[in-house]
Amino acid sequence: MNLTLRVWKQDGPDSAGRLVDYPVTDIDPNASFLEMMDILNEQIMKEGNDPIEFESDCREGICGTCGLVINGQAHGPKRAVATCQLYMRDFHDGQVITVEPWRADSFPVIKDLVVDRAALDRIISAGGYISVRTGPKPDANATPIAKDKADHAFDMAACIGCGACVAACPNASASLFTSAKVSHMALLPQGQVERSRRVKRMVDQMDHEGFGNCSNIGECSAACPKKIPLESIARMKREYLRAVVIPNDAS
Amino acid sequence: MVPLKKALSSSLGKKYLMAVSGIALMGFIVTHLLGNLQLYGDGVAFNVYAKGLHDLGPLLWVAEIGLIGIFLLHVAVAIGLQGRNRGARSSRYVHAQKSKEGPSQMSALSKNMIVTGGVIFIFVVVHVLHMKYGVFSSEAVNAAQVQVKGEDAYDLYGRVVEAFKNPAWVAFYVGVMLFLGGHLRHGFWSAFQSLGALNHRLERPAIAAGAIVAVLLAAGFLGIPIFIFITNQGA
Ligand code: SF4
Ligand code: FES
Repeated sequence: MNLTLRVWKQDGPDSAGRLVDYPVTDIDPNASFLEMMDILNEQIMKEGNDPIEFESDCREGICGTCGLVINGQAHGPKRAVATCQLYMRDFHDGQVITVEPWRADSFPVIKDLVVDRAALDRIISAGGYISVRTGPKPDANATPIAKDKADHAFDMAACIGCGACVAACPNASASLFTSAKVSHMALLPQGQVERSRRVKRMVDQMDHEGFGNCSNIGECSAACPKKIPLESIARMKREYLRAVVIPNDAS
Repeated sequence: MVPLKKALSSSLGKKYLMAVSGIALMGFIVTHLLGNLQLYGDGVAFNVYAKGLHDLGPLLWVAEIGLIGIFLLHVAVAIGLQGRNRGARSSRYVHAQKSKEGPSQMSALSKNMIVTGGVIFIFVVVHVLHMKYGVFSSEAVNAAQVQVKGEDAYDLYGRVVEAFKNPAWVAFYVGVMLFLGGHLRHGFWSAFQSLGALNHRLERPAIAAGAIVAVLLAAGFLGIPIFIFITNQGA
């Protein structure tokens, strides 16, 4: 496959960026998108130029670092995959592919396609934890959890903190991410102690970071590699309302 | 515990305000349409209804002030939300964002609630001046009186008919009602989602109900000027 990559180049957080066109030739359709980027970078470096900066680690959809906006879609055209799980067979020969970083004021660009997603970490630090002592591994079924709740909590826990929800949202809202974390712990017995405090603190932090508001557009869920559903945002709204009326019993 | 004042000023709280005021406004719109359905008749019933409302006196004032308050709250909070949303991404995407579909409701309508809302806001001002205060009506129509149950009353029906004999007013009202439908298309289900009232089972039905509500209300209203225009041809 021969392609034209139109990539966002930006020297640092405060410099202006621009799109630069790179021809890439002879790409195997079964190469992954990031492998194609590696090939392009080798070619750029051979010519003595600075490679395109992008992030990746696990390359199997677990770590959440590899997000790119490809032709206006976070993690590219396929649903339920991270950029690292995207293959060139989903593109066609001769295509012009525009690659941009996650764009949100809360995610400053570090260089080129790499953004600083620490705002999401700060939301987690604000309340995405439990502080009850869980002790050694308990006997199986010592704490009964209904199967549907366990399944649901597990689905919410699948969030990898990639930030695609923010990137895809027309308002750059972090509601899907925050709600996945809130829901995950609100559903489990270990999460009950800090239930009210948690949602309040996480929402406070989310607002403080400057993310936009949720307009119920739902593009976040469509872009989410872990298919976190919109219903999790509804749950966060309920949890927050609940925190208005129910003081935290353990605080 | 979250103090109420703080809760309402958070990003979630502002959406609760939008949702509750939006649902109240939809309640008003439904009542307004039910009353106005009498315009599909000969006008006598409509004038009786209008006089009945007018005779409520102070009660009507209270209702009107409440309604204006809710309306302005909905508008003011929306403007605040919009400002924040624009500000959250000051460096925009060069390649336009493209929907991945599936669960997404991203569309020109859902992304432009502020635009459809703005059109409705301007319309409401014009509409109140037009139909309540007769600012755009002829003196003859404004002075006209009818007999309702033996008492003198304004001929509101006359004012409506005069307006909708004019194709320009018909086009204006019909056009704006399309915007109202567009606003409700996303606004209806969105209100319930913002309040946390939905889950995976209720989400799709709520979205579908939003489409039905949008079509019914828009069609109900925009049929009135068209009906009056057609039935008053040559009259
Ligand atoms: S909710 Fe989905 S899109 Fe958002 S950070 Fe988590 S995994 Fe990524
Ligand atoms: S590189 Fe880890 S999720 Fe893509």
